[in-house]
Amino acid sequence: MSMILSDMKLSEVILQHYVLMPVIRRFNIKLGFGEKTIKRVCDEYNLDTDLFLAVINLYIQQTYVMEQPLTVEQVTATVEYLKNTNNLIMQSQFPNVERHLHALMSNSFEHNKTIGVINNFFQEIKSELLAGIEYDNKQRFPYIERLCNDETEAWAQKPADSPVKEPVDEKIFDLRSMLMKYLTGEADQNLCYAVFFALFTLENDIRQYNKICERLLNPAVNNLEINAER
Amino acid sequence: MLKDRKIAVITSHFLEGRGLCSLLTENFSDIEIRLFSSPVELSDSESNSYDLFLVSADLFVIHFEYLLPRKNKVVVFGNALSDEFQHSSLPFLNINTSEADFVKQVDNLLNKSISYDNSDGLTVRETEVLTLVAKGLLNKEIADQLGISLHTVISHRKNIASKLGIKTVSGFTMYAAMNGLISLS
Repeated sequence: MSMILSDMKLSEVILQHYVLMPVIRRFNIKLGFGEKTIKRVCDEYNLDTDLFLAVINLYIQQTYVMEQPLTVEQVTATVEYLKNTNNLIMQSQFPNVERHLHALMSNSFEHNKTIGVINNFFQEIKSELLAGIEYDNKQRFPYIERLCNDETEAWAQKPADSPVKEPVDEKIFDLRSMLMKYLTGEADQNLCYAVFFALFTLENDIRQYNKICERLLNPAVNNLEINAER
Repeated sequence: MLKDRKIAVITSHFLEGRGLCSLLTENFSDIEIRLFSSPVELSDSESNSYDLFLVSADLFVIHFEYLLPRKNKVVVFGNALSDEFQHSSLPFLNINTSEADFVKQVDNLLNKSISYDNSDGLTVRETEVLTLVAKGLLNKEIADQLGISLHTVISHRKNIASKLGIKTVSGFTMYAAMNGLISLS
């Protein structure tokens, strides 16, 4: 898969890689960008083109590595992007899965035990994910912002590790495969597909979120910490 | 049934290996047998050309990760003491027996292993381990409860995860709950 570059038309890139639609949304780019290049769209929205390219290339390529480490401004922008991702997960993706799951439960003719199990595990995953998001919003991101603002002794206030122990995207993968393999009894197949795809999208977005943290944000934060300690 | 099959005998004891090879050659015609002292001697392309791997129990434990992906071609042999393998999903040959009985075992196994498929069916022991994992027991506690070694518990867990395509510990619980092994309360 070829790299996406700043002089490519944003519309063509999205048409080819529709999975990037949520990314556009999280950068607050509205539809209707016509024939504009990525560079031009980023300029209009005051976005850092290099960061934008890094995020979308990371999204579509397993092996993408950014040439330069993130600058302080880019770290701040990445944190904004991740906050938007978290908000969308809470405001639209959770309700999306739940709407379909609840419809599925009330639509099944008898009380379907396996759908109940799926729902229970989804609630468990959801509360774990919410704990992770809360940790990011209340502890991790403010800490990174303090580092970026070069506040004195910011590095000394490093928060404890995240409460999320097992990768949540893998748990969703397991849940999705349970739904596919072991669902028994009567169930509305349309709604099953809807739940499956809603879970799939959520899983994908969380994986991307983690990738951005691992490959872009964490190395930059480490550098900031080393500089701050000096 | 055994026509033109290629068998790799893998054991670090040359005497055992040579004995097994000649026993197989004497009793089964039209098979090609080669002896290896470790699975690492086999290159990937070479290993794909074999229909069956007869692996000694000790080497199987060491080269678990290499052999597991090929598990539908693997037959483990050892004495009855290495009994953890008798409960695993893999076919097992007990060598601590008479010649006639051993040949019969091989014959049965080879005929069976041809149709040995990749079904997700767990063995009784694996289901036991899975249920205990799903109940939240630690590996050590599972080992104590079932009277097997810690290593065996771990190897069961790996087997289960690979059979069911499960990635997380929660996945074990989900499977157990979906299939009625535990009830969610």
